Amino acid sequence: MTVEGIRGSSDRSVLVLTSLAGGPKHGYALIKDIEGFAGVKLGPGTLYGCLAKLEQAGLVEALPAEDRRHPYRITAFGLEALRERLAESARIAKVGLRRVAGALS
Amino acid sequence: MRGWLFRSLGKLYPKAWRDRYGGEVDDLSDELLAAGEVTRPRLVLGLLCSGLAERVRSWHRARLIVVSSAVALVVLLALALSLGGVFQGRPSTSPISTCGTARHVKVTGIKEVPSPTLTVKVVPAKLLPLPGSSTVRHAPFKVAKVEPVQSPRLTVKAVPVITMPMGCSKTISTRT
Repeated sequence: MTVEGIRGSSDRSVLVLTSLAGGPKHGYALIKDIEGFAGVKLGPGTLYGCLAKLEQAGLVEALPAEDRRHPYRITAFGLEALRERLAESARIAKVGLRRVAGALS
Repeated sequence: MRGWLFRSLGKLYPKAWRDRYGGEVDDLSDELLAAGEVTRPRLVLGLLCSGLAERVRSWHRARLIVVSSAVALVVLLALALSLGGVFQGRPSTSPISTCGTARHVKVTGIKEVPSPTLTVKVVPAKLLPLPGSSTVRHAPFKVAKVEPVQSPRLTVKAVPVITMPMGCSKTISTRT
């Protein structure tokens, strides 16, 4: 997945990147964090499917294992990709909200 | 979730993926089950779906690799054929013998060269480079007439009209 790829990707990749933007996390912490701020509960297969794609694209990287836990952190490239993706979402949200408000008034 | 079920589900994932992430998925599944965060059927269903998704993604990647390799092969083949045509010329009815490097051909009559964009020169045979050498050059004589001929390979017919001194043969040198 490239930066262009993340633009069209599902929200799951954005959720994982957003979670990692708050600091390195292992799988369990990622699931709990994403559930906390987005209300979405990812399964282990789904989470690692996302992590695999993001790692392959250089957007996240694995850190040395702690006990049996394997933390991941977002890379500088990943931060930039996330910033672009969120800015685009914000632009779309702004236009959408304005139009919804116009339709309701 | 260690056991036959996970081992079976793990086989759904591509081997490379399983080798890299299988242990971590296994550990996380155990952790989630132990914490009561997920039920076993839901976990199995999730692993089943994501395993199939990874498998499909892997097939898609493999298909992309195969298709792009085939395209690259065809392009390389076409380039090789095209270059072969430039350097060797098309078969001609005139008596041609190669002399020196592949870019020089010795002719005794009319020679067809493979492209209208080639520079066609006529040089005395004695100044031809030795086999393996490509550094010898000589001021070209004029070629009186270069005319295109009907051919799918866009050949031109070069007709050297100069009269060479006795004892010299005529040579057409093509430079790309």
